[in-house]
Amino acid sequence: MSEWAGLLDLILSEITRCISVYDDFVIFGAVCKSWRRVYSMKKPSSSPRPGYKAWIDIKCDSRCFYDIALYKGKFCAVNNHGNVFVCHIDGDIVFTVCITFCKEPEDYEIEDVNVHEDEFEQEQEQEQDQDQEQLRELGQEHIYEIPYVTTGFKVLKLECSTEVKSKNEYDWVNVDSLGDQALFVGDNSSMSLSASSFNGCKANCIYFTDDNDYYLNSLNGGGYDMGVFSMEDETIKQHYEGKSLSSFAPPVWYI
Amino acid sequence: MASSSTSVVVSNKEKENKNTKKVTLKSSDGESFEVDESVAMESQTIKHIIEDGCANNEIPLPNVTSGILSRVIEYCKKHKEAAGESEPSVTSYTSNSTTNPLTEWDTEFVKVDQNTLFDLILAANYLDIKGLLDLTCKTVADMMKGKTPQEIRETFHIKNDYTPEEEAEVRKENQWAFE
Repeated sequence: MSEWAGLLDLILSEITRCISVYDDFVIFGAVCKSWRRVYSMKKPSSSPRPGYKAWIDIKCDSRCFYDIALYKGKFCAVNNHGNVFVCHIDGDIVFTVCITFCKEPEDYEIEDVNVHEDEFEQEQEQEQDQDQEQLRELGQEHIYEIPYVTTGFKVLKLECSTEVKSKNEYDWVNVDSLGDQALFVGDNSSMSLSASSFNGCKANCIYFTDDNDYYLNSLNGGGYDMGVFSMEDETIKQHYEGKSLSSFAPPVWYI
Repeated sequence: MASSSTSVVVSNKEKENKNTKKVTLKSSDGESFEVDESVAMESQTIKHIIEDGCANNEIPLPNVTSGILSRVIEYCKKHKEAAGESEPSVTSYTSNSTTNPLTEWDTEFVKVDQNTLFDLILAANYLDIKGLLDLTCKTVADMMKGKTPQEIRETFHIKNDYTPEEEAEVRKENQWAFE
């Protein structure tokens, strides 16, 4: 056995402490069996916990989460079916509870979960696959490069269930107006702001960026499907002139 | 009538102050190195031997060759000087500090061949010299940066002891890290 493969676990452990990039740490664990033993002892589990400096694995029935938010001290996440899970911590045990089930309308896709003021809201984004005729009308040159575009949003608020026999503790209720709030949604975490506090930010609007994974397969990447949706008149306007296209990192919000 | 005379012999040891007290370290290949006790005590292992009264005249270090021991002593001297005349204590951790003047010296110190680096790691561990262990381990970690598992194996002459099935399993676990 090579000397380096035979190093004491204690020394290998010291070496891993000096590895600053997680990828390099994973690669370390793949070099040989003795190194992997040390890697397995030191690798983190899956989720962060407030006050803890290690990742904790959280068991959950759902696997595809679209967004997560901290609401009244608890992590809440919405999955691709519109179901909301709340993360509970009981001593050393961390588990999730599904607090609502959502039947999503056919032509809408769950976008994000957002927490603002004391409400818990969900946006559903309507995207349509554009056929070539419609895209020609939009004046696009390379119509085969644009397979989708957002045409609308629906905003729902989570409220305590009023139905006596409802199986849900909470229900989704339609929201017609965001009031002074502006929502920012897209491929990264969503957030809301008070529009009156930010010069140039329009109230009762949803600012969105491209979050359709289809762009990974398209010719020039993602970044076409972006704009500002007005809740008042249900129209979409562009943020800015020009395009920001990328196959791996289309524009996201940085606030 | 005989007269008696008294002579008083004052032991050298009584006169010596702590700072110039020496200790002799003996390498595995029989070479002796006399160093200031305070420098030698940068090693926690040696510190405990001295404090436990087991030092006698020489401290044998059967795990460390003369070549490596001389380098280790050089490290300890340099770091002891930098720490000033303070009481020997845990070696200050200096290798990562960009503001520490020793950083450059440390960087040059570890520019050695792989076998020497390996032996320095073992010596730092055996002698329990935290700063030296941190410095040498960081050097190894830096040598692995951005490399694939196969490149690391080649760098350190490590045999791939995974079966093809085991290797596929390892890759599957963190596919993204291998791309």
